[in-house]
Amino acid sequence: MKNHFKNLCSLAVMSLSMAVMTSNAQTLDNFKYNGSFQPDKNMVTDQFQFNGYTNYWHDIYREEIRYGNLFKTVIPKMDYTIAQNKLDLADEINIPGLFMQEGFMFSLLNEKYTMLDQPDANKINESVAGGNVLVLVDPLSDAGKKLVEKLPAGYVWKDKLKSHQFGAKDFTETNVFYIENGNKKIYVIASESKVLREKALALIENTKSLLSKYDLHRGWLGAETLQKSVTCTPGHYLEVIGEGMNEGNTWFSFTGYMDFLAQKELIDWMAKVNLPVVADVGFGQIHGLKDYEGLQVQSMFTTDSWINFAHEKEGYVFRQVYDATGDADKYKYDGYIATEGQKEQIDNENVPFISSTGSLYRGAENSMVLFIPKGNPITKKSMWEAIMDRREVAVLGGGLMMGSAEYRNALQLLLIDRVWLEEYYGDRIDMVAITKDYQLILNITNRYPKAVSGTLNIVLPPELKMAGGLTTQVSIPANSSKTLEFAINPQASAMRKTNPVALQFKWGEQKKSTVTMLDLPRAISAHQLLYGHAPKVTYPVTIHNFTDKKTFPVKVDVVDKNNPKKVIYTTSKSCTAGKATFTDMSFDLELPAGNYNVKVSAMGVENISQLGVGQAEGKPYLYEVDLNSDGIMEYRMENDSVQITLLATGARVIEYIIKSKDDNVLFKLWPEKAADDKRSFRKRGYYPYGGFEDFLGQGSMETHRVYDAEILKMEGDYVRVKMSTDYFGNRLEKIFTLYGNSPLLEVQFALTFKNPEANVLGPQPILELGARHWTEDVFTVPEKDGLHEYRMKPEDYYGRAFIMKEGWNAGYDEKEDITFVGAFPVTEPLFLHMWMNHPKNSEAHFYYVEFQPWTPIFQKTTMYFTYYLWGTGGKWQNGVQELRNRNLISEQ
Amino acid sequence: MKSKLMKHLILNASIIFFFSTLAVTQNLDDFKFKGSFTPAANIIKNDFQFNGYTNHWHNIYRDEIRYGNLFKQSIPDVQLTIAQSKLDIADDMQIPGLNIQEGFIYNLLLEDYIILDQPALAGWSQGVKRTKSNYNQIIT
Repeated sequence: MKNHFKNLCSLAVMSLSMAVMTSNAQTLDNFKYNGSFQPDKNMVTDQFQFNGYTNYWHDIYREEIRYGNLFKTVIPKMDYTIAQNKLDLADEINIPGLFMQEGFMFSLLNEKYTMLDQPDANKINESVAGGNVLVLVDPLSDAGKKLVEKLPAGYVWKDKLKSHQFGAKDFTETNVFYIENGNKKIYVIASESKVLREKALALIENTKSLLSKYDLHRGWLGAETLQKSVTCTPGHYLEVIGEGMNEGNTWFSFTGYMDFLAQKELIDWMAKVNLPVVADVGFGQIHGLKDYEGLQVQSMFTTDSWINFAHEKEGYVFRQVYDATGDADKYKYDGYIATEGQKEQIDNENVPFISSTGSLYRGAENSMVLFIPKGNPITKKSMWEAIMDRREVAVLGGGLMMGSAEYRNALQLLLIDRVWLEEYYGDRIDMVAITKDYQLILNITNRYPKAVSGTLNIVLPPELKMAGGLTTQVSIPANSSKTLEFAINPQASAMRKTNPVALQFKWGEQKKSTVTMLDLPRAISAHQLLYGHAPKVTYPVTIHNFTDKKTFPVKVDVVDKNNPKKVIYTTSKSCTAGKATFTDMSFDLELPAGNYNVKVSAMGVENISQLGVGQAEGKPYLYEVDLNSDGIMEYRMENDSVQITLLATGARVIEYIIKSKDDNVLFKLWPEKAADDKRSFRKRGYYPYGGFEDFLGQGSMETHRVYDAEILKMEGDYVRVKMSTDYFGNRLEKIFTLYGNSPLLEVQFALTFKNPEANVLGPQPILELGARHWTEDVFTVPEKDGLHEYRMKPEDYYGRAFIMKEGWNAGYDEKEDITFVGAFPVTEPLFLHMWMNHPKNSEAHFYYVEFQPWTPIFQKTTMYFTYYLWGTGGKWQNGVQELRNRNLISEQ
Repeated sequence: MKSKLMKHLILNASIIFFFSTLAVTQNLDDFKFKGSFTPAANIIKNDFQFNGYTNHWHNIYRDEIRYGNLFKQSIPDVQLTIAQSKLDIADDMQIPGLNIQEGFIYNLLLEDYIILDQPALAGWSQGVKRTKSNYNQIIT
């Protein structure tokens, strides 16, 4: 028994030892990661197909893709969709059973041939001995049988597609193909129907005839950017043009909101890099105008105003095909706006038309092809002549075409052919160019099954230089890509500009071009308008280094505004920044009260800005308070003149109360919510908190964002709060300062942004002077041609864009004697936008007015901007004078 | 003169004979159809990607598909869309940087395990020694 117990104990000890040993063996080094993430391997794909009738006959082919069971998305099955498109095109050209071999037209149009109608085999043999032949044949004839039996047995796509067309009682196959023997070709049009054979031949001949008379200029009318707008979408003009050129475009017309402001820039860019491309603009229904000066798109209240504006400027105006009100029928338009639903009218009515491409964001699927007399250059004139002559075809996403049959059918036949259009537009060579820092990067792809060699030529504007030659020999193996990089050296003149860069690749007899850009900020960024109190003003500067020197001095000279030779203060610092990078700096300027200009010099360039310095006097104060008990503090700034409340949400001034009038001059809904707060996607639209806030997108990305707030100065001659946030790598900082006992509130903006679509900032006081915003409120704007006054219209909203002479706008409540003046550096915005709101606005059901300087946001630097608010009792002129006295009125 | 004419005639006859022989060789039977229709092989695809702000922050990945130049259709790049979906879900769960291995939860729910919170490397080894050897661990 004892022995047995002993044995058991021994066994237990041994087991324990083994376990300890095993546990010792489980070291971290023995563990391995066996995971992977390859979505394509784990997608579960099911097919969905419908060939039938919903509210019309059509055929759809889809892939239903699931991942992790619950993720599901449905995409078109592209090869089937393309195959179906060919059937639809055949339907369109009234040969429903047409099956044309890809490349048939490309080959036929490049070769000489004789034509034989219903020949026997001997005749074909005999004729082909002398050259290529085009044979029209009944497939049931002896010769027809011999020819058609050359085709692969059974058309597999017919079984796959099951298209509704196949079920038509009179569906008759028309096979168009060619057979080869060495360099001899027999082109065949085979159909049991003589009518269809002849129809196919007529189409081919019409296409051949058109191609002998016209060049086919592909383009994008109604391409859209939002480069001049506070709203956001991806794509700069030059990026859109670059992408379009890669698809074969030679003309563009941009119609995004305020794109018409870019008319001259577009022409200049194209000229600078010698691109034979038409780049023009339009807006909504008006196009092709000689210029758009004076266009106020939010103040065109009548149909007449659009038509007259367009025609007076030698342009064109287009209407919807159908206007339910019948209004459009009373006016003389130049054409229709073509949409898919109106294909019948666009095809059959003898009316010119336009079709819009839209934004890159929406896919830019639509295009137009213009038939320009052969050899004539594409110009704005020839482009519009073609449109007004209906020598045009609109091509919608998925290959649907609209236009007169003569031109449309030719293009449809060529699309069925595929190869001719691909060769014509150089699709088998793909060029995508970008810049990164100062590197020009070209990704060039050869989609031919053979190697391609050619010459790449880079065209730079005078502001950019490049080491080495601008011409390079490039060889690209079959079905492969190459990435080429070139170092660009911007000159000082390239700064604060969008610099186009064109690239052209020539191979054999063909060529393709594209364009990209090097968008550069000011070399020296600083507040162009700034105020501070003596004896020391903090002056931020950002240097973008475009030179090869890594370290260099930055000198600041403050000079008397009225006597530039009188230097009041000088300082300098050393700046270190790599080429193409930027560095933020800060200078403390020790200055007495006065009006100054500040000259910053570095890298051989200088920046001059305006500075007002006041006496250190007054006793404003600042405190935190949670007014709506939401746990987020508000910041109150007060002095004898005003009580100001800052919200961390959106970093906005929510109240600006003039104490003598007990009036908040800013419209305010907060802390109440919008009545439609629960509307679907409410936060993606404009949300009316009120106050002084910014458009940065619409809805603005700032609207609901709670900023980090920091009190910089609680008491003394001024009080100051900094609010900052970071939008996924885009830093935005605002510093609010109330000066002395005056009503002067300063908002300093500093933006270090990297998202190119966020390219315009629109700071805005939303004004409601006195008890209500009404007709007694007069708003004065110093425009280029003098002072202009505006009042609200009780019956409607409206807006205007002002080109400014001076950087201010004033409002005055004539009944309550209340003034508000806003001031900003006039050289910075594109324009000052005024919006007189009306309760019928679906986003904000209130009367108020907004004044927004729409200001470009430069990247690759920190961009600075200031806005000054001044509210008092009394006349507006006094307010403007007070700001002028403080050197806060800028002019251009 | 006669023989010169004869020679000329013979030459011409030879040329005619030669070409008629060639003509005979251009027999229909020798011609072949070399076409094919494989749309997938001829699709031209460009990538479109947007990671930014329109009226909200979002990320889209698309294939821009062209065929015969004028046919164009923009469709989601499903692989990248799936990858983005994982980021969006992590955002929605308020763990924006969550990068969870596929199958992690599946495996975890099938096994017993103990949890170690921030173990030191040495302590971790001892922790392993102290536990039953067949226990898995969650380490945070």
